Amino acid sequence: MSEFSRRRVVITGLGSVTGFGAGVEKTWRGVMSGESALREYFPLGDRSVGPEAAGVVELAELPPAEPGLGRAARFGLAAAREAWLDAGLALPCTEPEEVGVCIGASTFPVIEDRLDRLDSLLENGRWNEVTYAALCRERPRLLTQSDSAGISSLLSDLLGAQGLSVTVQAACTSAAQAIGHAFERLRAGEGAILVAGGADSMLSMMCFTGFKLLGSLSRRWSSAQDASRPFDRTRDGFVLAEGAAMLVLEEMEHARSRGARIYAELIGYGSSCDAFSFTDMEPEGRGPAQCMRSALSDAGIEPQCVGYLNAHGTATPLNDRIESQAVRQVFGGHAERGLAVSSTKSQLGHLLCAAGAIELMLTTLAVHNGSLPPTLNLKQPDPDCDLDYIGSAGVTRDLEAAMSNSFGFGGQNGSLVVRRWRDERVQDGRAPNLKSRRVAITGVGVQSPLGLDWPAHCRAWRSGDSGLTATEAEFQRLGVMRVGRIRRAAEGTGLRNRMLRKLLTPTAASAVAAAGEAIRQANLDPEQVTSAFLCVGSLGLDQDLNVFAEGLGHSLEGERDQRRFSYNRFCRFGSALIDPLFLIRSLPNAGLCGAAIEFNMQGPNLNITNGSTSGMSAVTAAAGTIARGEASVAVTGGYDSLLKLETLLGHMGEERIAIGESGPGYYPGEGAVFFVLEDLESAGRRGAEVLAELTGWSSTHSAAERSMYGLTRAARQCLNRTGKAPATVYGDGLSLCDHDAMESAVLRKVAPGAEFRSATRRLGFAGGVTGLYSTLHAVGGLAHGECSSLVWTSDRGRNHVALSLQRFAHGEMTR
Amino acid sequence: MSELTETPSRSEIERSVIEIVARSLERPVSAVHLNSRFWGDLDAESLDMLDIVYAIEKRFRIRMPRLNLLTRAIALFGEEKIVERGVVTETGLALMRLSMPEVPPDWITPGMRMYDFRRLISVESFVRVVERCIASVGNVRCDTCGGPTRMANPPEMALQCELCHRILDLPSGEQLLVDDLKRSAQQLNLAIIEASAPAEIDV
Repeated sequence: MSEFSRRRVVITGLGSVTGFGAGVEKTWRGVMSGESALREYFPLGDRSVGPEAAGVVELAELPPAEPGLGRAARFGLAAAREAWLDAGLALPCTEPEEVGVCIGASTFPVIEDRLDRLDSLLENGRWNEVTYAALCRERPRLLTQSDSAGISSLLSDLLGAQGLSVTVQAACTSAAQAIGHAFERLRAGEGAILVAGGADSMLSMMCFTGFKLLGSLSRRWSSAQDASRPFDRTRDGFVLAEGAAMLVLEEMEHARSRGARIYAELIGYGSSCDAFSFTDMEPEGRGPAQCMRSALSDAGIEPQCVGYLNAHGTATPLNDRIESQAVRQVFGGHAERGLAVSSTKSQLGHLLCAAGAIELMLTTLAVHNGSLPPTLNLKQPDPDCDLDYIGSAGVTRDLEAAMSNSFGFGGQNGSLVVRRWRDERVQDGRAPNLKSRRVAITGVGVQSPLGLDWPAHCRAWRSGDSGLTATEAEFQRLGVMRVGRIRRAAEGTGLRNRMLRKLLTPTAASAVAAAGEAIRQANLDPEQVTSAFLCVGSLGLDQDLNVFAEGLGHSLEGERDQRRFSYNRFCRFGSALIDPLFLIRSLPNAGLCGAAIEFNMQGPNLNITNGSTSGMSAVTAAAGTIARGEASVAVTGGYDSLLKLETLLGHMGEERIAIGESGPGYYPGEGAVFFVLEDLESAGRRGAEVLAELTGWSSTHSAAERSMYGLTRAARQCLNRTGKAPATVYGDGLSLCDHDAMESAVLRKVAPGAEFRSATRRLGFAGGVTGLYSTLHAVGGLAHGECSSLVWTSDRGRNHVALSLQRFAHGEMTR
Repeated sequence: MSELTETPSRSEIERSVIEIVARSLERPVSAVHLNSRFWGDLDAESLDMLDIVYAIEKRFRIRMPRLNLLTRAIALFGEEKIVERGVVTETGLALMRLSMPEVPPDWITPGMRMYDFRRLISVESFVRVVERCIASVGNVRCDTCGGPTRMANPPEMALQCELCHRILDLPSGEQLLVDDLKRSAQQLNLAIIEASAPAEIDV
């Protein structure tokens, strides 16, 4: 990747599903006519308790779907299809390698489908592994219905897309981050079209419980339509909603050459991290202000050009006050004269991981149509929220540019800027070519079953140790005899931040520790750490199901062995026994935000949850950012664990786990691996030790039955950039016939003379970290004299990621 | 953590609350005092408060109030009486002084903003609420037969009538706030505009 261009990106298609209905027209008409999509809703349909206020989608609005498909997936598919057809594109697509998907979506606790068997599933305040496994075999969709990583893959399959396929999870900033990331990659020449957006449906019983325990939801309302009151003095929390929105982002010349209708141009993206607290916002609004400034700078426009802001505006007392304060800091006097602000959450509720997408869609339409959406329920202005809010009537105004904000639990912030499309502004459509920067690895950190840092891991690896140990009794009951478990220090995690010690799961704490080791090894200046790009591939949901066991156990009524779950009893008695912090602890972005807080990392960030390609997808995203010169330092890697009951059962259900001592398949593992990536030249200038050079990276998607083609393409794209045959290939080595045969075949095709290595037999399969273990060992091999290597990973034949590395000699710096 | 007697004494409550706070905030018990303020002295965050309230509720089997005193006062007496442009009025300050006797009067100062309320909350504030929640649990009679009640098991966070065995909810801590405020309002000749019971805090 020696050159890239900075192309322009336009929005050519829109699709949405909200409480107003399926189709952009319904949502836009509902929003602009000042209606509310919120209504009273009874989770579980049990009217003995409640109701809740919520933005609920009527499934009858959607086309029929295959049985068992999760709600968010259905919304996402409907919105993507609408957006694609709205853009005037053929389905399936005609340029598969030029098309990709990048969306925000959540994975969240679902208990509903277990409630009818609860009496047999719970035993002594814990879940019974054996009866739970039996239920999962009986109901195979039980574990996949909230699988967010699967949604981007479904969308890629729908479109026939073979380019990038990524799911982002950054709490309420997920969709903004997904769109921003898609924008950056498209701008730099990766493909011609990316469908970007978000899909979410967190209206499950445990989601309501979790948000209520945190005190996040509005409680003081007489009708659901009044519940969401952004910027109003009486606001007291947000209203949960479900839905999806997708935008077709297209390279401008591609769109113009096919005569596409252009809604607006996407011109800027800003990302930052508060690095302050998981739920409390930094009191000065530093992170949101930095993010808006960064978006304006990226867009290359002055604040006065922005005529409309679709605020994050959740209607929580804290967010609206601090967001208003941050907007004032960024826009100065323009915040009083000319910047109209509204929060469409007043009508739609909070679509969480899809919020940034629906809000950017409305912002795009505002710019396109010259009509600005209203804010409902803003009747008693709060003196602490003193911007020029649009009231319930909406406003007609021609706009030059507009911004959409998203801020999330954990402190991740994202802002996007769109500009009114004017064809006459296009003078020379060809963007000049820019020289790519070379990417160095200057730091490594690991927590694995072999050790709690890189030297310990390497020592144990070289001496032939196995990371696999005998399992605990609960896994043995399932026939799983060995696991690759991190042997954590008895004295604790060593994290400095008390709140992180309290909140982080052991897996997320390992991520923070590994990131810290990589940062220390790279010997970065504090300023470099503060502004570094933090890019993490995480597990989907870091949930210990047993946090619900006591509360659910106390929600059963009836005679012994015939006890049935009572929702009324759960609300009255059971929920009080559930840890109020469980939702925060289970956040998939906890590792990223934990690292940001622990090491004061306030820069741009991205959290990817792409199944077992998560970690390598994060590294490729970070490498691209360095190569394009958008950051000079990136801290990147990932963490994952299969050692959680539901995750393990998911892999067992697919017959991928080795049962007994010698069955086919892999043993479950866990781990965390991080790297520091740097612009090679600046690493050289500061005298950093370069451990290896990343010479190529590629992500592809394929239909499951074409996995060999998908992995081959990823590997070849990588090697084409380097022009060198690798001496060694590091792959998955899962001990599964089909996967092993596929890897062997790809090896014969792309690197016939290379030696194949895999760490899975000694470390277990650690999901999104397995490819990172491979990368780690490739770096180790280069340090011990190997010249070049290729690393790949492939997730169930869908997503494929490859990286190529070479040894770096300091004499080469001048090359 | 030490065992509690069936109806814990004030000193047992103090000891338990201090132990819970110390454990949650990772501080030695000796560093947590009754007059320690959560914000300011103990560097607590909002998530700590949820954690501490959860631990206290499970320990004593009570339901503590979730809304703060000022929010509740606004609902009872009207916003204009309590807050003006985000700043707590003289009446609001007077209500706080009367309803929170554990807070030294010089902590409640003119110019205080709504969101500064949390800075007043001390360990003793929690002890006082716990003590009164425990007392209110002891006063609950069966809403069907009028019989005395005792702790149920299961479900754990509930009461059971000793006579008819009906399962009853634990009394909501919100009512304690309302009672405090109403008592204070009488002294200040403040009219109540919301006569109804407080909204149920359902989780």
